[in-house]
Amino acid sequence: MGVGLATSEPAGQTYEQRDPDVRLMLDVRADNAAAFEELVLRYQNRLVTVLEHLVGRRELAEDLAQETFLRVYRARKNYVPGSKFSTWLYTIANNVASNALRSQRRRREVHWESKPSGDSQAVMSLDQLAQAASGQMPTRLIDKAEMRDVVRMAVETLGERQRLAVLLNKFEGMSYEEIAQTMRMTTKAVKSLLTRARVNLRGVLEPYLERGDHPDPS
Amino acid sequence: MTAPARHDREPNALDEELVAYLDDELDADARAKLERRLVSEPGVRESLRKLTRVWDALETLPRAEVNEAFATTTVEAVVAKEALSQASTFAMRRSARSWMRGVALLAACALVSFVAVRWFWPDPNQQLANDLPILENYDAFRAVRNIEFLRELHQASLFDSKPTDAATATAATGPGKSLVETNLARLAAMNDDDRALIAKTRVDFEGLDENQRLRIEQLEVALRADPNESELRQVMIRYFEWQSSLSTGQRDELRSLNAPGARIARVKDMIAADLPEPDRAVVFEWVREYAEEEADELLRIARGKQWVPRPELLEAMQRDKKKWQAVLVIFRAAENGELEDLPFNEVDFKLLESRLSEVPAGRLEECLNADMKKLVLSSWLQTMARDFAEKMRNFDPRFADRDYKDLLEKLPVDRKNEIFSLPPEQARQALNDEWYLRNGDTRFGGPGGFMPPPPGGRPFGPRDDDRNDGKNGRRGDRRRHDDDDRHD
Repeated sequence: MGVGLATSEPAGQTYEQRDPDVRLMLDVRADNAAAFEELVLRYQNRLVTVLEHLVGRRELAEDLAQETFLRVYRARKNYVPGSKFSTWLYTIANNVASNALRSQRRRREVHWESKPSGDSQAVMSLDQLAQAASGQMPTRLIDKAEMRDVVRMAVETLGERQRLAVLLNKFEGMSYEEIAQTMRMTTKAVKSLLTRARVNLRGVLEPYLERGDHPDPS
Repeated sequence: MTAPARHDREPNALDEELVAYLDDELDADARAKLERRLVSEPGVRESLRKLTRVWDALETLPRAEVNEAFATTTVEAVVAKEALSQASTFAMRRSARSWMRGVALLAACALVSFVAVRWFWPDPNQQLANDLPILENYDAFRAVRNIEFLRELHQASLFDSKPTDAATATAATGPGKSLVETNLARLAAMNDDDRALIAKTRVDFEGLDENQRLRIEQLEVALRADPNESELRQVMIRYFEWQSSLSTGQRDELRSLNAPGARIARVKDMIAADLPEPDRAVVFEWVREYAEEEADELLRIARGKQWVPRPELLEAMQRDKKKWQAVLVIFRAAENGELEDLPFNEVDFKLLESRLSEVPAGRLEECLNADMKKLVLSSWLQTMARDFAEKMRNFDPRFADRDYKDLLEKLPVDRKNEIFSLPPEQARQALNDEWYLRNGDTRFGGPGGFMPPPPGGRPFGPRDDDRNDGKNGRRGDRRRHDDDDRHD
C-alpha cells in the first residue's frame, strides 16, 4: 500500500532538522541498510533497558526489542516524521510490550492454577532481603546491590502504565508531552500518572531510604 | 514470595506541583510561586527532598547492555523476516498464475556449469536467467545450508518430495533449449511486479558476503547435477515453508546445530510436536460442531469482547451464517490468546481426544486440566488459522486497494504510523477494524447485527450517531475518529 502519510510539511521538516534520528529513519526509508543498523546500535541498549524493566525478563526484552525494530523496518516506506523518532519508536515498543504482557498474564494464570505453590523461591521478598541485610550489616548501611534490588522491586509494584511513564521519564528523559504521545494520553493525564507513580514509589521506598527499614510487605 | 505493598494514596495538589517542578514542567508563574513556598515552608522543602531522594534512587536501576552481536543479529533477523514476507507474497502470486504451470517443460538439457555461465555470459539478462532458480527460491536456499543436509532431509522422508509443477519448472529446460534460454523465456513471460521482485531479490543476493553467495551457488550447481534434482528442490521448498511456521527461537535453535544429522533429528522432534494434516481436519470438524452447538454462547462472548468480525467468511459463506460466525469466534480467540475465555470443558476435549491420532491425542491427555488443554488447542488453531486466513483472503473482494487508500487518507498520522508498523496481517485486520468503525452497523451488537457491508463498500461520511452512549473505546465509538480525540 504505497500511501503517503499526511502531515504538515513544516512540522515534518522541523523534526528532520532537529532530530538526527529522524534523518536516519528517512535514510532507512530510502532503503539505506547502514542507516537502519545505526539506529539499532543507537537504541538497542536504551530500548532493552526500558523493556526489561517493563516485562521483567532480559531474554524476553531482547526479543521484544527485535520485534520493535522489525516493525520499524516494515513501516519504513510509509514513515513520515510526525514526532521525534524516539517517541515513535517507543510507541511501537509500548504496543509490542503490551501484547507480550497480556500473553504473559494469561500463561501465568493457567500456570498458577495448576501449580499453586510454585515460584515461591524465585525472588527474594523485600522482607527477606531486609532481614538478610540486617544480619550482615548491623549498621544497616545499604549497599549498592541491595539498594538496586529494593528499588527494582519497588518499581515492579507500580502498575504497567505508571511504570512505563516512569521509565520513559527517567531513562529516556521524555517530556510529559512526549510521554503523552507515546502512551496515547493527554499531557494532563501523564502529569497525574507520574505524580501517582512517584508518590507510590515514595510510599514504598521512603522508610527504606530514610531509616533503613524494609518496606511494609502487608 | 511477599511482594511489597503498593501505597496507593491519593496524591495531593502539592505532590503534583512538586513532581512537575522536579520534571521542569511548571510554567514560570507556578514555578516562582512554588519556589517562594520552598523558601518559607520547611514541610514543603522536606517533601521535595524525599521525592528527589526517591527519584535519585532510581539511578541504581541496572541499564541493559546487549552483547556485541545484538545489532547484527537484529538486522539479519529483520531483513530475513522481511524477505520471508515478500517471498510468501511472491509465492501466492505465482501459484495464482496457472499459466506458469504450462512452462513446465518436458526434457532436461545438458547441465551447464553455473559458474561458467556467469563467466562466459557477461550479458546481465543471461546472468539473471542463469540465477533465476536461486532468485525464485532465494529464502529457501538461505534456509538450507548445503546439498548434504538436503539429501539427508530427503532420505528422512520428513517432507513431501513429489515435485510440483513449479519445482519442475525451476528444474526443467525446454526441448532443444538450454536452461538459460528456458529461463529467459520465463522471465519474458513474467508480469512487471514479478520481474521487479526478482530484480530486488537479485540485489539482495548480490549484497550477500562472498562466502554466503558462494555457498548458495554451490548448492544450485549441486542441485542441477543431482539425479533427484526435482525432488530435492521440492524438499527444499517444503522445508523452508515448514521452517517459516516456527518461532524465532526454534529457528535459531535449528541454525545453531551445524551437523546435518543433529539438525534433522531436531526437525523430526519439532514435526512430531506439530499437528499432522489429517488431525487438522479432525480438529476443524470438532471446532465446527462445537461452534454449531454453542453458537449463541460464543457470539455472546464475542459481543462482550467487542470483537469486530472479519469480513472474509461473511461474504464467502452466506449459508449457516451463525455457525460460521461462531467458528470465527473460536479462531479469533485462539489468535488473540484468549481461548481460556471460551467454555470448552473436559467432556468436549474427551470427544476430541477420541478422534485424534495417537500423538496429538496423547498431548491432550497429558494435560492436567481443561485450561492446559486449551493452551495446546490454541497452538494448533493458531497454525490452522494462518492457513485458514490465507485461503479466505481470496474471498475478500470488498477491500479493493482504493478503499484502503481512501480510508488511510482519513486516519490521523499517528494511527497510520501505528498501522504501518504492524505485520501485514495485523495491519490488514487493523484497517478492517477502522473500516467497520467508520461505516458502523456491521459489528457485533450493532443495529444491523452481524451483517456484511453492502457490496462495493459504503461511502465514508459523517456517522457518529451514538455520541451520547458513553462509549469512547476504539471499537465502540466512531466519535474518536471524527473528532480525532485520541487522548480521552
